[in-house]
Amino acid sequence: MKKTFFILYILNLLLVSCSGAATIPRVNAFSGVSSQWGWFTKGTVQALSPSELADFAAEGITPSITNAAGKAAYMGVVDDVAGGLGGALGADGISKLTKSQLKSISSLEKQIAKHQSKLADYINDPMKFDNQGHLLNAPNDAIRQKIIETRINHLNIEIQTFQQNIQKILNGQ
Amino acid sequence: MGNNMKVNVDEIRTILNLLLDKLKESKGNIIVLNNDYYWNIWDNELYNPNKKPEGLTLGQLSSDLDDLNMLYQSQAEDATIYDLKKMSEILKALSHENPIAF
Repeated sequence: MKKTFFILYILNLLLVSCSGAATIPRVNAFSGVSSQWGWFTKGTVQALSPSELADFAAEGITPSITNAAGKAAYMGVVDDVAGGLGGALGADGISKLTKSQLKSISSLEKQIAKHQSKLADYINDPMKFDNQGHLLNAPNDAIRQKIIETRINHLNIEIQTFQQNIQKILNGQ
Repeated sequence: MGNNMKVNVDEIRTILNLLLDKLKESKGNIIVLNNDYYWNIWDNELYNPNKKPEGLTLGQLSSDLDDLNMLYQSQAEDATIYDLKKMSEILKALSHENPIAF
C-alpha cells in the first residue's frame, strides 16, 4: 500500500468525522438500538418498556445481552432506574442518545473486541510481535518480562478507555 | 494565547496535506519505520505539568499501523476519536525518524 497516501487518506476520513455528525431526534433506547446494532438478544430487552425494565431490574433479573456495550447500556438503564431515569433515558423513557452517539458506541464496541483479541494474541505469544528483537535481545528475563507486562498494560488501558468512553456517552457527558 | 488554543479542523487538514506532500516528495511514498515500541503517557498524566508521569505503558507502531490499515480498508466506517491518537503516533514517528526530510 502507498503509505503516504494511506496516511493522508485516513487523516481526511478522521477529520471529516470530527467535523460534525448528523443527529436525529430522540431514538427509542431499546428498539432503535436493538434493531440497528443487535445489542440485545431478540425478544428480551427489545420488547420491554422502561417501566417493565424497571421491574426487571428491581427483581435483579439481567436480560440476555449480546455484548459489553449492550450490557453497559443496560447497566446504565439500571442506574437510571435508581436515579429516576436520568442519563441515557429521558424522563419520558425515551433515549437521549443521538444517531451519531449510537454509532460511536457501536464503533467503540468493535474497538473493544479488536483490542481484546489483540491482547489475547499478545499474551499468548509476545514473541510473535517482537518485530525488532527487543524481547529476544533483552539484557535479561526480568527486563523481557517488564516489556511484556508494560505492553499488556497498554492494551488493557486502551480497552478500559473505550469502555469508559461508552459509559461517558451513555451518561450524556 | 487564547486564539492559539483554537484548532481549526479545515486548516489542520490543509496543513497535514501540505506536510505529507512534502514528506512524500522528499522520502517517497513508502517510508519504512525503524522503531516499533514506544513509551506512552496516558491523558491523566500527559497534560499535568505538576507531576512527573509514572504510569508509562508501551504502544506499538506496528499495531497502530495495522489498526489504521483496517480503517483504510473499511473507509473509516468504524473510526473512533482514538484513531486520531494512533495516527498521531505514526506522524510522530515519521517526524522523529526523518528529522531532515524537509
